[in-house]
Amino acid sequence: MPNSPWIADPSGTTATTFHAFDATDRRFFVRARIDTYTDHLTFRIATRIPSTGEKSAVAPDELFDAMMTHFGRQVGGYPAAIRGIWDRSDPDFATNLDRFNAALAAGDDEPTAAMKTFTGRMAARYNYTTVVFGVTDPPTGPPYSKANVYFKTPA
Amino acid sequence: MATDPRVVAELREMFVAGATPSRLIRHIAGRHDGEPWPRLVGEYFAQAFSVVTVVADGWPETQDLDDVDPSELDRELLRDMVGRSHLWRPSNEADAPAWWDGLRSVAGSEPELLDRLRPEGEPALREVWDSLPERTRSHIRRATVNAAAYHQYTAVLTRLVERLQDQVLRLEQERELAIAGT
Repeated sequence: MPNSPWIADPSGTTATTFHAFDATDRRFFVRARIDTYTDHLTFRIATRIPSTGEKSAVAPDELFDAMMTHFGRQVGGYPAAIRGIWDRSDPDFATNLDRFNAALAAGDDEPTAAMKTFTGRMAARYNYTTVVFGVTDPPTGPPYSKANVYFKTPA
Repeated sequence: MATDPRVVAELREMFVAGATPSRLIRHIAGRHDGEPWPRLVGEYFAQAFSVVTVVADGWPETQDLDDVDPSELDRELLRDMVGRSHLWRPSNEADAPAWWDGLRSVAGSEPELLDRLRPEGEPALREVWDSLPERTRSHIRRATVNAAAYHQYTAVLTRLVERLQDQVLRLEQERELAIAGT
């Protein structure tokens, strides 16, 4: 793709995996994998480094779209669900969890709060608008240090 | 850079013997010393144990493994590795003992666990379920999911701890024998 701001890495891209990075800075990337056991998509996108404030020239939406386009072209098409594993253990990847907790603190119910995250917003573009919750930590209620969330298409 | 089938076999053997996921990652790092090994972690776990982890995807090539929080690795990933062992343990090795042998109904994934749960079928809830507000039903479902998930984490971890305790005892006995022989 001429003048593309991101480059797909052929060595990390297969029918069940996708890896692309910012053409000017490989620290910014998307890495994704389909779990063939569940047909669920798990991914990580890095377009900024919170500790330094550095940002990629590529928008996270663009990397998400590239990922979905890749998997949509595979046999079987789009995955059954998009899995969010939101965890505080790595602060560089806590954006979704922070947004989720903030929305809950503002009074949203959990499905509404989940849809306000980056993953929820992007999942909705592909009609993954049904939210199913897995385990949370703590189990008693927010604010969470971990939440597993599944975005599915309506039954 | 590619995965090595010998390392896949080593990882399986180590896990059956009681190595934790964080120990397995150290093994991957050691076997690919000088290479950008964090990029291989997800692929090794997929090939060796049919599971998905993205935990190492954001790590730099110089990642210090002493700084890694193993909490995610040692809970749901362990549960999935055990719950999917029928996929990655060849049947001709089924007679070799593994530390999780005898654990029953360990889910191979969280969605599998979710599918098993039917709080609306519980006797205490059956008659009132339809009259509950959706937000209340959602809370009950989530509480049920958490109870079931943490129960399985605990069951798997308890079994692993016992295996590791056995190994500590064996090492202590070997040490005592070595001291007695000097």
